[in-house]
Amino acid sequence: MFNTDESPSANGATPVPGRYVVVFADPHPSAGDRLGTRVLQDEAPRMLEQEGFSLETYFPRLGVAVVDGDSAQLGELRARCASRSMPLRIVPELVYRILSSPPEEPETPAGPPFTDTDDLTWGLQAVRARESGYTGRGIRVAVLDTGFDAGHPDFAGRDVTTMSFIEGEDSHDGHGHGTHCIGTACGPRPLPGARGYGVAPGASIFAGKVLSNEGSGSDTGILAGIDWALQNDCHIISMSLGADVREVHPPYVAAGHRALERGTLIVAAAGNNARRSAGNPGFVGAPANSPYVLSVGALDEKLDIADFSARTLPGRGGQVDVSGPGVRVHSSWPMPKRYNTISGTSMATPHVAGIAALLSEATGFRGRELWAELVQEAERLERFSVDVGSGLALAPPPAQVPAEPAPAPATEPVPVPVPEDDSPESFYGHG
Amino acid sequence: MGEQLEDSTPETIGYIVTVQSQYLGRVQEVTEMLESAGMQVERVLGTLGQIIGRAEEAKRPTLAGVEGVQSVDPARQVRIPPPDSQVQ
Repeated sequence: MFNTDESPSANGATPVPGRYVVVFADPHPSAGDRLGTRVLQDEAPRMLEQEGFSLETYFPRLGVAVVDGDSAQLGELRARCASRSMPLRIVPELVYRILSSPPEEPETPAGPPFTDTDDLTWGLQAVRARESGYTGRGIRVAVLDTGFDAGHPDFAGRDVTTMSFIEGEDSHDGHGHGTHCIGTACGPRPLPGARGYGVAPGASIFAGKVLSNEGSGSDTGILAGIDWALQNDCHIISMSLGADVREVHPPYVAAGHRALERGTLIVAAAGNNARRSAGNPGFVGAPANSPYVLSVGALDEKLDIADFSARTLPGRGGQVDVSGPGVRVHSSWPMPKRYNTISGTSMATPHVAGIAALLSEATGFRGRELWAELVQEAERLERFSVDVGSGLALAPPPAQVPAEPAPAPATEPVPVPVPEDDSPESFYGHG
Repeated sequence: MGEQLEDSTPETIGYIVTVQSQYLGRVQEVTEMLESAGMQVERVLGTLGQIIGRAEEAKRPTLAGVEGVQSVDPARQVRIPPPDSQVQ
């Protein structure tokens, strides 16, 4: 039997004998290896034709063909594509019926309730940061907050740029909030002999001080900080700050929009103005309530909404977009205290900023595409969307490690041995 | 009573002026026009297209009418809880 890339699905769809779906695409697309329009419109159909397949049902915009064929013919197509390093998948064409039973859940590494271990915070476990393999390398993350303790031993040797927008204060963090947020977004993991707490330990850190040591700031400093992050081409701006006002503040609408246009994503804390246990769900404040600013809610160890985490504010832009771990979060704190464990949507926000860095590294997506990826890939929770948005933001799954390097393209097509029809090996063509 | 005394130091408000997208390449020109219209400019955010400064509240409509201006909004304060607070 010819082995296709997928066994017939468990949910009752039946393969059509002798019919196959040929997909010219990488199953894990990243910016570097997406197939171009030219390949899909010219090269792919030419290959199909040369192997004797009909082009009647080839969809050039999708890079998908449905073909009649036999094992030998498909094997040849696969070998030909492999010799040109063209990613290819072949799966049986299926007949679909209304689902009678839900497909089986894939196994997840760990489930709630999460708890801090000796070497990893509960938040990093929940967002699957370690399993991801990505670290945010090459991604610049700006955290606009109370500054940063740049002398913190956990950040020795890291790429850190600091700037103060507070008159009379340098960028040193005299509060703690900023160092804690930077730790969650970009701090270390693993941390030898201690608990790793940073989602994106490979990212470059831009610490903009826009809140004073007393914890207060104004639009002036915050907007100046956003402008500075844009000048430095930061990919992500994390803002664990806000005011409990319902009105959308127009300067942040323009700022969020202009940032996205330049490929920069702004994430902001939804706010801590809820007291859910007392019947008050709160509302998303400014600037998180601006359209074009991604608003982040806080979850606890059971992935329940935190008691303080603000609910969606009716109106455009007022929604909670996604959620992150935000209760009893262990992270860095200015020396000599070194660590602190605190709660807030302020702590959930840098989790999401760090995840955005990993996603950005994994996919090459920026700006709006990155926003969409974050929201789309979030783990859905059985909670109200007005509270948790699309759910728990998740780190991207590990990159597929190619089994062997692709053969170098040659001027003359080099014949590649066609595996036996009953070969158990995978036929992924993107080695 | 009832007589309006002239105030030599009129009270000003912090404003954020956002320029229209199509004026992003001409922020400096807009800034100069805002200064002529009575704004004390403190900071020009050229990348973002925003100009920060102070003006009398009565001048706000004038500033909003300057060519290339999208909106004029009062600057606000934000505050986070003290370091020893459990929820931040």
